[in-house]
Amino acid sequence: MENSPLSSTDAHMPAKVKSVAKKHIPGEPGVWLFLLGDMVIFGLFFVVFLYHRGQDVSLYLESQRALDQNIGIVNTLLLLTSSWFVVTGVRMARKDVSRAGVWIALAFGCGVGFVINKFFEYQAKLRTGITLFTNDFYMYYYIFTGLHLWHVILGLGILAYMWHLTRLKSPDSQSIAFLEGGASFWHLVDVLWIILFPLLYLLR
Amino acid sequence: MREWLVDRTTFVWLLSMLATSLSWFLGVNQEPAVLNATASASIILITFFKMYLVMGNFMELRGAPWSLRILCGTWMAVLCACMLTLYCLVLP
Repeated sequence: MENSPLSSTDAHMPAKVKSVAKKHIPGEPGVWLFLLGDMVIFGLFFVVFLYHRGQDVSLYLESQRALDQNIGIVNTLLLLTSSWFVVTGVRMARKDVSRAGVWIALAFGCGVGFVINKFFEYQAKLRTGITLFTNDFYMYYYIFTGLHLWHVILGLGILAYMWHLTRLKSPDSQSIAFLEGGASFWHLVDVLWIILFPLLYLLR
Repeated sequence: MREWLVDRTTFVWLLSMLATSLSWFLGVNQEPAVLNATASASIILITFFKMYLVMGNFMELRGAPWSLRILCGTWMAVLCACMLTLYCLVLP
Protein backbone atom coordinates (compact mmCIF):
# COMPACT_ATOMS: atom_id res chain seq x y z
CA MET A 1 0.00 0.00 0.00
CA GLU A 2 2.76 2.34 -0.86
CA ASN A 3 1.80 6.01 -1.10
CA SER A 4 -1.72 5.25 -0.03
CA PRO A 5 -3.65 8.25 1.34
CA LEU A 6 -5.06 6.22 4.22
CA SER A 7 -5.03 6.25 7.98
CA SER A 8 -4.26 3.00 9.83
CA THR A 9 -7.97 2.32 10.29
CA ASP A 10 -8.92 3.07 6.71
CA ALA A 11 -6.31 0.68 5.41
CA HIS A 12 -8.11 -2.46 6.54
CA MET A 13 -11.68 -1.21 6.34
CA PRO A 14 -14.21 -2.22 3.69
CA ALA A 15 -15.05 0.61 1.29
CA LYS A 16 -18.69 0.65 2.40
CA VAL A 17 -17.78 1.19 6.03
CA LYS A 18 -15.22 3.92 5.28
CA SER A 19 -17.84 6.44 4.34
CA VAL A 20 -19.81 5.84 7.56
CA ALA A 21 -17.12 5.30 10.20
CA LYS A 22 -15.28 8.59 10.61
CA LYS A 23 -14.27 8.17 14.27
CA HIS A 24 -10.82 6.73 14.57
CA ILE A 25 -8.37 6.04 17.41
CA PRO A 26 -4.94 7.36 16.35
CA GLY A 27 -2.58 4.38 16.64
CA GLU A 28 -3.30 1.09 18.40
CA PRO A 29 -5.84 1.07 21.27
CA GLY A 30 -3.16 -0.55 23.50
CA VAL A 31 -1.00 2.55 23.13
CA TRP A 32 -3.84 4.64 24.52
CA LEU A 33 -4.12 2.39 27.59
CA PHE A 34 -0.47 3.21 28.32
CA LEU A 35 -1.00 6.93 27.61
CA LEU A 36 -4.09 7.13 29.85
CA GLY A 37 -2.17 5.36 32.65
CA ASP A 38 0.67 7.84 32.28
CA MET A 39 -1.78 10.76 32.35
CA VAL A 40 -3.36 9.51 35.60
CA ILE A 41 0.04 8.98 37.30
CA PHE A 42 1.38 12.40 36.31
CA GLY A 43 -1.96 13.98 37.28
CA LEU A 44 -1.53 12.53 40.78
CA PHE A 45 2.05 13.88 40.89
CA PHE A 46 0.81 17.41 40.08
CA VAL A 47 -1.90 17.27 42.75
CA VAL A 48 0.54 15.96 45.39
CA PHE A 49 2.99 18.74 44.50
CA LEU A 50 0.36 21.47 44.89
CA TYR A 51 -0.86 19.93 48.16
CA HIS A 52 2.65 19.95 49.65
CA ARG A 53 3.26 23.43 48.25
CA GLY A 54 0.26 24.54 50.29
CA GLN A 55 1.96 23.25 53.47
CA ASP A 56 4.99 25.52 53.04
CA VAL A 57 4.34 28.15 50.35
CA SER A 58 7.25 30.41 51.32
CA LEU A 59 9.84 27.61 50.91
CA TYR A 60 8.46 26.72 47.46
CA LEU A 61 8.39 30.37 46.34
CA GLU A 62 11.92 31.01 47.59
CA SER A 63 13.27 27.83 45.93
CA GLN A 64 11.46 28.62 42.67
CA ARG A 65 13.42 31.88 42.33
CA ALA A 66 16.57 29.90 41.47
CA LEU A 67 14.91 28.34 38.41
CA ASP A 68 15.56 29.88 35.00
CA GLN A 69 12.19 30.68 33.42
CA ASN A 70 13.89 31.51 30.11
CA ILE A 71 15.19 27.94 29.78
CA GLY A 72 11.69 26.76 30.71
CA ILE A 73 9.96 28.73 27.95
CA VAL A 74 12.56 27.75 25.33
CA ASN A 75 11.94 24.09 26.18
CA THR A 76 8.18 24.60 25.99
CA LEU A 77 8.42 26.25 22.57
CA LEU A 78 10.76 23.48 21.37
CA LEU A 79 8.31 20.75 22.37
CA LEU A 80 5.31 22.59 20.92
CA THR A 81 7.15 23.05 17.64
CA SER A 82 8.26 19.42 17.59
CA SER A 83 4.63 18.38 18.15
CA TRP A 84 3.59 20.46 15.16
CA PHE A 85 6.33 18.84 13.06
CA VAL A 86 5.11 15.38 14.12
CA VAL A 87 1.44 16.07 13.40
CA THR A 88 2.40 17.51 10.00
CA GLY A 89 4.53 14.41 9.35
CA VAL A 90 1.65 12.07 10.14
CA ARG A 91 -0.66 14.14 7.93
CA MET A 92 1.83 13.90 5.07
CA ALA A 93 2.34 10.16 5.71
CA ARG A 94 -1.35 9.49 5.10
CA LYS A 95 -0.88 10.84 1.60
CA ASP A 96 2.63 9.56 0.96
CA VAL A 97 4.74 7.98 3.69
CA SER A 98 8.00 9.01 2.06
CA ARG A 99 7.12 12.69 2.58
CA ALA A 100 6.93 12.29 6.37
CA GLY A 101 10.62 11.65 7.00
CA VAL A 102 11.81 15.24 6.97
CA TRP A 103 9.10 16.29 9.47
CA ILE A 104 9.94 13.47 11.86
CA ALA A 105 13.63 14.40 11.60
CA LEU A 106 12.83 18.05 12.43
CA ALA A 107 10.82 16.93 15.47
CA PHE A 108 13.75 14.74 16.54
CA GLY A 109 16.04 17.79 16.30
CA CYS A 110 13.74 19.80 18.60
CA GLY A 111 13.68 16.88 21.07
CA VAL A 112 17.49 16.76 21.11
CA GLY A 113 17.48 20.53 21.72
CA PHE A 114 15.24 19.97 24.75
CA VAL A 115 17.61 17.34 26.17
CA ILE A 116 20.67 19.59 25.67
CA ASN A 117 18.87 22.50 27.35
CA LYS A 118 17.91 20.27 30.27
CA PHE A 119 21.50 19.07 30.62
CA PHE A 120 22.75 22.66 30.95
CA GLU A 121 19.94 23.50 33.37
CA TYR A 122 20.76 20.53 35.64
CA GLN A 123 24.47 21.33 35.40
CA ALA A 124 23.88 24.96 36.50
CA LYS A 125 21.78 23.78 39.47
CA LEU A 126 24.26 21.14 40.59
CA ARG A 127 27.16 23.60 40.35
CA THR A 128 25.45 25.89 42.86
CA GLY A 129 24.91 22.93 45.20
CA ILE A 130 21.20 22.45 44.49
CA THR A 131 20.47 18.72 44.54
CA LEU A 132 17.58 16.31 44.99
CA PHE A 133 18.11 16.52 48.75
CA THR A 134 18.23 20.33 49.10
CA ASN A 135 14.54 20.62 50.05
CA ASP A 136 11.08 19.31 49.13
CA PHE A 137 10.68 21.69 46.18
CA TYR A 138 13.90 20.50 44.54
CA MET A 139 13.09 16.89 45.32
CA TYR A 140 9.90 17.29 43.26
CA TYR A 141 11.72 19.38 40.66
CA TYR A 142 14.34 16.68 40.01
CA ILE A 143 11.91 13.75 40.17
CA PHE A 144 9.24 15.30 37.91
CA THR A 145 11.61 16.79 35.35
CA GLY A 146 13.77 13.63 35.47
CA LEU A 147 10.78 11.38 34.78
CA HIS A 148 9.69 13.72 32.01
CA LEU A 149 13.22 13.71 30.56
CA TRP A 150 13.08 9.91 30.52
CA HIS A 151 9.85 10.20 28.49
CA VAL A 152 11.59 12.60 26.08
CA ILE A 153 14.51 10.17 25.60
CA LEU A 154 12.08 7.27 25.06
CA GLY A 155 10.14 9.49 22.63
CA LEU A 156 13.34 10.23 20.71
CA GLY A 157 13.86 6.49 20.26
CA ILE A 158 10.30 6.17 18.97
CA LEU A 159 10.78 9.14 16.61
CA ALA A 160 13.96 7.50 15.27
CA TYR A 161 11.99 4.32 14.53
CA MET A 162 9.19 6.38 12.95
CA TRP A 163 11.77 8.01 10.69
CA HIS A 164 13.06 4.54 9.77
CA LEU A 165 9.50 3.50 8.80
CA THR A 166 9.20 6.47 6.45
CA ARG A 167 12.29 5.21 4.58
CA LEU A 168 10.78 1.77 3.85
CA LYS A 169 10.02 0.95 0.23
CA SER A 170 6.62 -0.55 0.97
CA PRO A 171 5.15 0.51 4.33
CA ASP A 172 1.92 -1.26 5.33
CA SER A 173 -1.10 -0.22 7.39
CA GLN A 174 0.74 -1.26 10.56
CA SER A 175 3.46 1.28 9.76
CA ILE A 176 0.84 4.03 9.63
CA ALA A 177 -0.65 2.76 12.91
CA PHE A 178 2.82 2.89 14.49
CA LEU A 179 3.35 6.42 13.18
CA GLU A 180 0.04 7.52 14.70
CA GLY A 181 0.71 5.76 18.03
CA GLY A 182 4.26 7.12 18.25
CA ALA A 183 2.99 10.59 17.43
CA SER A 184 0.39 10.35 20.21
CA PHE A 185 3.14 9.42 22.69
CA TRP A 186 5.25 12.38 21.59
CA HIS A 187 2.27 14.72 21.97
CA LEU A 188 1.69 13.39 25.49
CA VAL A 189 5.31 14.24 26.32
CA ASP A 190 4.48 17.77 25.13
CA VAL A 191 1.23 17.89 27.17
CA LEU A 192 3.02 16.82 30.37
CA TRP A 193 5.62 19.56 29.91
CA ILE A 194 2.83 22.09 29.21
CA ILE A 195 1.74 21.49 32.85
CA LEU A 196 5.21 21.06 34.39
CA PHE A 197 6.50 24.38 33.07
CA PRO A 198 3.94 26.64 34.84
CA LEU A 199 3.72 24.35 37.88
CA LEU A 200 7.44 24.47 38.67
CA TYR A 201 8.60 27.74 37.04
CA LEU A 202 5.71 30.21 36.94
CA LEU A 203 3.09 29.80 39.69
CA ARG A 204 3.60 32.27 42.54
CA MET B 1 0.39 28.00 -0.35
CA ARG B 2 2.02 24.69 0.42
CA GLU B 3 -0.35 22.03 1.74
CA TRP B 4 1.76 21.38 4.84
CA LEU B 5 1.35 24.99 5.96
CA VAL B 6 -2.32 25.62 5.31
CA ASP B 7 -3.93 23.50 7.96
CA ARG B 8 -5.79 23.86 11.23
CA THR B 9 -2.78 22.40 13.11
CA THR B 10 -0.58 25.31 11.98
CA PHE B 11 -3.04 27.77 13.52
CA VAL B 12 -3.16 25.66 16.70
CA TRP B 13 0.65 25.67 16.87
CA LEU B 14 0.83 29.47 16.49
CA LEU B 15 -1.92 29.98 19.07
CA SER B 16 -0.13 27.62 21.53
CA MET B 17 3.15 29.52 21.05
CA LEU B 18 1.37 32.82 21.76
CA ALA B 19 -0.40 31.38 24.82
CA THR B 20 2.95 30.07 26.13
CA SER B 21 4.54 33.49 25.68
CA LEU B 22 1.63 35.10 27.54
CA SER B 23 2.01 32.60 30.42
CA TRP B 24 5.73 33.31 30.60
CA PHE B 25 5.10 37.08 30.58
CA LEU B 26 2.57 36.76 33.40
CA GLY B 27 4.96 34.47 35.30
CA VAL B 28 8.01 36.72 35.19
CA ASN B 29 6.13 39.95 35.95
CA GLN B 30 4.42 39.06 39.20
CA GLU B 31 6.03 41.34 41.75
CA PRO B 32 3.07 43.15 43.35
CA ALA B 33 1.61 40.47 45.65
CA VAL B 34 -1.94 41.46 44.85
CA LEU B 35 -1.41 40.55 41.18
CA ASN B 36 0.15 37.16 41.92
CA ALA B 37 -3.08 35.28 42.50
CA THR B 38 -4.83 36.61 39.40
CA ALA B 39 -1.78 36.07 37.21
CA SER B 40 -1.15 32.56 38.52
CA ALA B 41 -4.81 31.53 38.20
CA SER B 42 -4.72 32.88 34.63
CA ILE B 43 -1.56 30.84 33.97
CA ILE B 44 -3.36 27.66 35.11
CA LEU B 45 -6.33 28.42 32.83
CA ILE B 46 -4.03 29.18 29.87
CA THR B 47 -2.20 25.89 30.55
CA PHE B 48 -5.41 23.88 30.25
CA PHE B 49 -6.48 25.83 27.16
CA LYS B 50 -3.16 24.80 25.54
CA MET B 51 -3.69 21.18 26.63
CA TYR B 52 -7.17 21.27 25.09
CA LEU B 53 -5.67 22.55 21.83
CA VAL B 54 -2.83 20.01 21.72
CA MET B 55 -4.91 16.98 22.75
CA GLY B 56 -7.80 17.88 20.45
CA ASN B 57 -5.82 18.76 17.35
CA PHE B 58 -2.34 17.21 17.60
CA MET B 59 -3.40 13.99 19.38
CA GLU B 60 -6.43 13.98 17.07
CA LEU B 61 -9.00 13.49 19.81
CA ARG B 62 -11.39 15.64 17.76
CA GLY B 63 -11.79 12.70 15.43
CA ALA B 64 -11.58 9.98 18.10
CA PRO B 65 -14.47 7.91 19.47
CA TRP B 66 -16.55 9.57 22.19
CA SER B 67 -15.36 7.13 24.87
CA LEU B 68 -11.74 8.27 24.44
CA ARG B 69 -12.74 11.93 24.22
CA ILE B 70 -14.75 11.66 27.44
CA LEU B 71 -11.90 9.91 29.29
CA CYS B 72 -9.33 12.55 28.27
CA GLY B 73 -11.77 15.42 28.79
CA THR B 74 -12.60 14.18 32.29
CA TRP B 75 -8.91 13.91 33.14
CA MET B 76 -8.33 17.48 32.00
CA ALA B 77 -11.40 18.89 33.81
CA VAL B 78 -10.65 17.08 37.09
CA LEU B 79 -6.97 18.05 37.01
CA CYS B 80 -7.77 21.68 36.20
CA ALA B 81 -10.32 21.86 39.05
CA CYS B 82 -7.89 20.21 41.53
CA MET B 83 -5.02 22.50 40.56
CA LEU B 84 -7.10 25.67 40.77
CA THR B 85 -8.61 24.62 44.11
CA LEU B 86 -5.28 23.63 45.68
CA TYR B 87 -3.68 26.84 44.43
CA CYS B 88 -6.51 29.10 45.67
CA LEU B 89 -6.76 27.35 49.06
CA VAL B 90 -3.37 28.67 50.16
CA LEU B 91 -3.94 32.26 49.08
CA PRO B 92 -3.60 34.76 51.92
